[in-house]
Amino acid sequence: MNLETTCPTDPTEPEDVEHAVRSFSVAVLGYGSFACCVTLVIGLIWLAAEGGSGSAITSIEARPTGPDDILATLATHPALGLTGLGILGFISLPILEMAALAFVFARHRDRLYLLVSGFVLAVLLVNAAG
Amino acid sequence: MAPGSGLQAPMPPLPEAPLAWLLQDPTTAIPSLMLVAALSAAMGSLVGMGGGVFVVPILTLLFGVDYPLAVGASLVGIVASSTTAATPWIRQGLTNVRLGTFIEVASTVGATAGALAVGWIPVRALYILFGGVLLVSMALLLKPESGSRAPPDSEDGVPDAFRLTGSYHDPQLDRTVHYRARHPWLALPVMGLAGMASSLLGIGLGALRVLSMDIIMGLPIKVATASSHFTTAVTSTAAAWVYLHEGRLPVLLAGPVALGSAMGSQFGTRVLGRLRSRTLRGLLLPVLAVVAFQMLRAGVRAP
Repeated sequence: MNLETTCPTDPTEPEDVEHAVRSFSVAVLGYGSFACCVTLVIGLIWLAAEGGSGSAITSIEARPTGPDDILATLATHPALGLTGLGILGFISLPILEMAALAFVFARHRDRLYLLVSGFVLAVLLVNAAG
Repeated sequence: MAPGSGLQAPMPPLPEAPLAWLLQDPTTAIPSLMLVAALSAAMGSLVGMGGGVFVVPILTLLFGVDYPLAVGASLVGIVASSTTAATPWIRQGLTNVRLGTFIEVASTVGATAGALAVGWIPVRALYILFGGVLLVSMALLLKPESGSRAPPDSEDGVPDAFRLTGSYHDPQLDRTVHYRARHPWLALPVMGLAGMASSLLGIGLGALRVLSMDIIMGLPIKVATASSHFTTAVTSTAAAWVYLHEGRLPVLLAGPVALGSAMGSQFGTRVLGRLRSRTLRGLLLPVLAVVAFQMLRAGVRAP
């Protein structure tokens, strides 16, 4: 059976969604990941330059750290804080992407996928809130 | 639960971790970790399995990092490489956004459950699970590539409410390929389990997802691969936040791994992608077999 005849009867509507998502992804994921990389580069170079024993970096064996610790560290140990900020940025980008996706589905009055993307966004936000 | 707590006692670094000394000094630790992550992401992209399959074994077996901390760092590396690598797929129009979102319902729940469970599972079991999953993934990689194929029959009685359809232009076939996902409900449990395994092991499990979409949903490989990239970052993010709150995401470990993974995936996509061939894949498969064996051995020998 040739599926070309069974594909969506209104192909323009999904393409609108795809186009909107595509534009957003290129903007946010592209520039966002670049910004996170730059933050990490600055933080890591700073950390490596500080080097030596006695600094916080000697706990590289991995001291458990939470998001509050990371933000508080910006004031007390900026190099470490910047590195943490880069990580927080990276793991926040997919949440932003999902929020934008829900917004696009809402704007196109796609209730089913607004529900689906809203559910995924809720799971991510609950996890992020701890 | 207090940060970092779990039922199992922290496993001491494996005694034979030969590169543990590199982590004692940030001047050697940061570049070393970045190099490991970059090479892992590049090689992982070559075999379509992501960098985690190399990062976690190297961090645990060679650097002596505790398993859950290595997995936490690897998850951030997966997010970093996926967010930087997903954009070209979306731009090309191969990613089916609805399909990706539909799959994420199960994979994010699975990933959250796995991240919450990791503190309750004996570490030796996680090592053995890692080795086992790696062997299964390798077996899947040996499956002949189906490439772009004809669209599946659509009349399977599945309601079209989710509109998991789409089309793309295939330059090899020189025509527009139309497709429609079959049995979407059957794929959800598989994606949930894949999400859980991904957060327990710190690997993307792209090969397993793609194969599930190929076999169960009857999707073209290109669409399955692009949509898998789309979901990987979201799934790993769901797990990474739990790891962060549980104190299993150390900044000093995850920072270099994230940056190295982002750079390595770009290198892998842009440079190694041109070299991609079955021969190169064949060269890496024995390496993966050794990694799987070492992880199984570590699990068996762990206290």
